[in-house]
Amino acid sequence: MKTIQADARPEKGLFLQMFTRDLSLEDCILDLLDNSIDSLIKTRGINVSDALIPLGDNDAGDKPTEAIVKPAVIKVTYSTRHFEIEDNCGGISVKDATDEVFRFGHSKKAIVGQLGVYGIGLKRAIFKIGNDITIESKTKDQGFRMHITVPSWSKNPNWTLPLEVIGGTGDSNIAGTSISIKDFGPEVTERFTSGTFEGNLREMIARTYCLFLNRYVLVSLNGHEVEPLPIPLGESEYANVAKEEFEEHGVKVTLYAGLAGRDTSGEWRAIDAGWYVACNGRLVVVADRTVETGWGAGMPTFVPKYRGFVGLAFFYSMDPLLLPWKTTKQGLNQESLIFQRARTRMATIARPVLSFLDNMYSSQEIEHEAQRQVAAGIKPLDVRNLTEKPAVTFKAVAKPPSEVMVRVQYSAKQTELNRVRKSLGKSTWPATRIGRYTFDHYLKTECPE
Amino acid sequence: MSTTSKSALRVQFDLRPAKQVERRMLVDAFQRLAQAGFPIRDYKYTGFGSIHFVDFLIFHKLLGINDMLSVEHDPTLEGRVQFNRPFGRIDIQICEATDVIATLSRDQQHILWLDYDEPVTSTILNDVYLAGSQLSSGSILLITVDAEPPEKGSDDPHDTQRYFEREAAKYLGSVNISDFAKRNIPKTSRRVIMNALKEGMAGRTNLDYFPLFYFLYADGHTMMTAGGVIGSNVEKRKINSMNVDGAIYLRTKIGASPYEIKVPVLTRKERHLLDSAMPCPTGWQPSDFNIPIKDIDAYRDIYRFLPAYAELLL
Repeated sequence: MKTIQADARPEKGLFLQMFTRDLSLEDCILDLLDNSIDSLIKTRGINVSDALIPLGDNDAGDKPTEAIVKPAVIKVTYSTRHFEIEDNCGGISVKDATDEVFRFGHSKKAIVGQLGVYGIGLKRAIFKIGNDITIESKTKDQGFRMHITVPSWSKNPNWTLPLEVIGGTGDSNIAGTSISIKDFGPEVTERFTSGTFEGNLREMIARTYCLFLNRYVLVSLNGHEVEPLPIPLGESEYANVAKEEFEEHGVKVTLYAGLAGRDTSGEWRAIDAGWYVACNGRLVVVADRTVETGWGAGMPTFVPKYRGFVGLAFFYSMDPLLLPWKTTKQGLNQESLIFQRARTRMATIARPVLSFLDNMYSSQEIEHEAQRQVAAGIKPLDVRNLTEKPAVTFKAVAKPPSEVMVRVQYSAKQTELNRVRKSLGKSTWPATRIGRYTFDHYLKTECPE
Repeated sequence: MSTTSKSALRVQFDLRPAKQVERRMLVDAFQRLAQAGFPIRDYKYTGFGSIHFVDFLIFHKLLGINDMLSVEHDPTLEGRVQFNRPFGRIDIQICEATDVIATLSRDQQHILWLDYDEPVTSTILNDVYLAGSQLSSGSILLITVDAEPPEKGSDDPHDTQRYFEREAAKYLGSVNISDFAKRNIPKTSRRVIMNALKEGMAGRTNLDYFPLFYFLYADGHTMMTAGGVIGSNVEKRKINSMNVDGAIYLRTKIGASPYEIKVPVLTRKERHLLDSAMPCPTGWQPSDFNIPIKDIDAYRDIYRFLPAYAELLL
């Protein structure tokens, strides 16, 4: 028997086209932000499981690190012709660039970051955005510059990229990477000019990195700083936040569930309700109300009465491949064992909160007073303040209802009212005052407490 | 069953002898588990005691379980439930079972008996799912449901199928219409319950469910109880070492057919005579009267567990 070898090499052009198909432009930009933050994590030795440690100045658990003193800066700018992301997150070493960063997929010996998982995010993002790509990165000691145009690169059968070695910055505080992309395809130009793109991207950055923003890193989008959008969990003296922790399959999982803080008009916004899931501090699911996080499977199907529910699931691992994220970092890998386990725990920790809401809305959409008062008192909190708290189930204690006021009204004959006035010697008192006075008199003399 | 002669042989519903046989068999099994190394006395028992607390009485008195919780979902019964609580150690919570399951301690081992008197519903399956996620290793889970055709007044399998598709769609798997025939309702109910349990146990890689019980009985309505131990290899070894001699009611294989609790109707005098010959050889008949062989066999299986009822004038 004779064995011959069939050609199974990827065709570059097709590969790039297929490879970039399944993610949105927003996801690409988030991938580039992941890369910058990963660089920061590596060069400054940040432990992402501390990303939730409280921010208090004198808190014993809060180790002041360089990052807290001076956050790194990532600037994202784009126009119809040019995209750029520039950071001072420490830069990529020439060795990493030569051996790892530009490979499709991590090699076995690679020391992976904590947000970059599969070793495809950067490549997929740059090839998706445009055809003229320049990457320049400098560490303190050394740097490189890489420039390609995709049409000519894809004609070349070699899978290598030209790196021009340049000097370093001499200062680790300004060491960093810039990626500049031009010559967009028509779809990308169309998205960049869309009226909603910037707002959408800003919100995604604000939510996805809400635990990193302003603490480790500042992100600006087209010159305007992105403020983090906090996870809308709240508590009060009458209702706590449930917490559960466990560690399995090399992943530490922390779950929280409780009620959302109400907005300025005293309402809950259904759009904020649901499960938030973070992997190593980066949000991969925001306000999910679908079967993906257990609604309709273990938990009831989401209905509007549950709009006060907020749950958080945090997954941490030093090996990001163990975490339940997908390559696009949007949504969850349903096959992940740790997620399958977590999902059943999420249903359990959510149950008392959902029961509270069931009771609150047991008759149509009218809020029951006891629960309404609990809900009205919920104050938004910084989820980073929850990390030190012990595991606990959700409990809401209904406040005793405040005194209900009833209006007492009746008609009386003018002549009889005047007789009372005369008896009291108060000829000028209006009828309401007479009414109040006589009521109080009866209460005092005939109804002692 | 609706002919007059047969009705005359039926016992009073409120005494529920088959249910009591089931309880006594559970006690028997728990005693065997205790012998095999399960610290049953230290388990927490959670059940639906209602106003009678029968299961609480026998688990406390015969197994020595002290830590007990009774769940009552009907708030109008609260006063009576509190009044009828037989021991001070029984904690009572007036809420849905669902809310209690989610708060059972994960540091403690439990016997949780979800003893419903209705057919399988989505709420019941959700409770089973939560129990699968919540119960610690070594805990015992029992689920009882009504296994009659669930749509009132209809034995039509198509109606039953529609009911199951409404209440249990995601746990049904592949089915055909015969799965909804009256005789197969217990099996189908058990299947969806087991699927909900497996789903709730998803990701608990070192844990498994080891079946022990699959009862069918009827003190009126046909009821089905499925139950077993949630545990690791440690529990598996203990279960394998359990003395099962004479424990004819155990069902440790997932594909096994149910153990049907059959209570023949006998008078007190007849029982005295039969008891003196128990356990009898197959085919034995009393000399004073004739009883169908199948009734003798049924009695031989359950006489140890069968209560004797008498009127007390208090």
